[in-house]
Amino acid sequence: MDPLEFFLIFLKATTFTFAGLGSLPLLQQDLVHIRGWATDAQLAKAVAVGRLSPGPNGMYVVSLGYLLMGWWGALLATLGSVLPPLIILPLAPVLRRTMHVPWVNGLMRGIALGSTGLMLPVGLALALPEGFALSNARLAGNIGLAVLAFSVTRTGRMHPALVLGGAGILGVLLSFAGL
Amino acid sequence: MKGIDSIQPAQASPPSMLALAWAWVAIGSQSLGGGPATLYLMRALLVDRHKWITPKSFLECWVISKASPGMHLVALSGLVGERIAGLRGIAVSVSTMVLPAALITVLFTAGLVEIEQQPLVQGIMRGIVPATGGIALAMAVYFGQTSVRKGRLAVADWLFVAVAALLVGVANASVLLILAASAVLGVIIARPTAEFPKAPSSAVQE
Repeated sequence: MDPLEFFLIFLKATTFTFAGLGSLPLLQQDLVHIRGWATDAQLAKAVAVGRLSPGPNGMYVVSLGYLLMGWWGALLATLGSVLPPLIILPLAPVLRRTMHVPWVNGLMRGIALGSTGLMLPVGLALALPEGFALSNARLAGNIGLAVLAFSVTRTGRMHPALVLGGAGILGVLLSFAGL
Repeated sequence: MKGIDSIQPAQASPPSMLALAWAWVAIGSQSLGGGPATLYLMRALLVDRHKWITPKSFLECWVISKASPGMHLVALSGLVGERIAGLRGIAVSVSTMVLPAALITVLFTAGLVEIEQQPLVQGIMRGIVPATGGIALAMAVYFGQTSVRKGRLAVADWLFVAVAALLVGVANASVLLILAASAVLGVIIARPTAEFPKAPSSAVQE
């Protein structure tokens, strides 16, 4: 893995997307599909750590960076994801005036809708890391857990750490049951 | 820099950089649960307790931060830092919010890598990994719901979401290409549908 390329991948993934997990589809495409530097299972692990540790959810990239390239990876991923949001600082005075102009608003909504669509296949890949090659019992367990997490998270009332804690306990029970 | 609020001073005199750094360390390291928790702590500490920034100014920073790429909270810490203490405020705020959280995340990951071969941990991860997929899907639906337009246009917007999902998920289209196309389409459909019928010249400052 070339460190510069590694940094640029994270920089790119953050520059062209919004919000914490928004960078996930681009990172998956670049790191998993194109270069084979990471697996979907590693992405899932990083997202879980990001949810369980303090700070913005977008910090999952730090965990991913560490998983792929140790401390250097964590540093490069942190830099790559912290620099792009700061571009807003020089733009703030302009934005104060133009944020409600229809075409600016439309541009941002278009990107938001596109990102929504991009997130769907990633969510599926995380829920079913080995796709449909899993045994039926495991597949059913995975789908059940994903649906459960989806429904309790969607309302926004339950703390994400609680959701993952509950999922962890269910996972242990499923493992004991041989599923 | 002639925004309506940009001249408004913070209520108290600017804090020492150490006090500011300390507040951000508290925010960055205690905010379990991502965005909402972080936002809550920022308001509680910077606005309510220390009064370094007015509620109105904080709200304005928050609205602007929504337009930033990447993590909005990083943008927000920069914007708020600028309001509190200018350039030094930006540097101190961003670095002291990000670094403790990043460090804890790395240590957490390193700890997990150490113990992940144990059966109990494997069981836990066996439950957590699919759940993260469910959470990502829930986030997607949430983003979608906050961005689609009302009425019949919502159907068109969700269709747009579905097409983007299929293009990338099934046809392996380039993610960047889809995002660019989304931006262009967003601009095209923004005009004729007049999202702001009440304020046609909504570019006005007030």
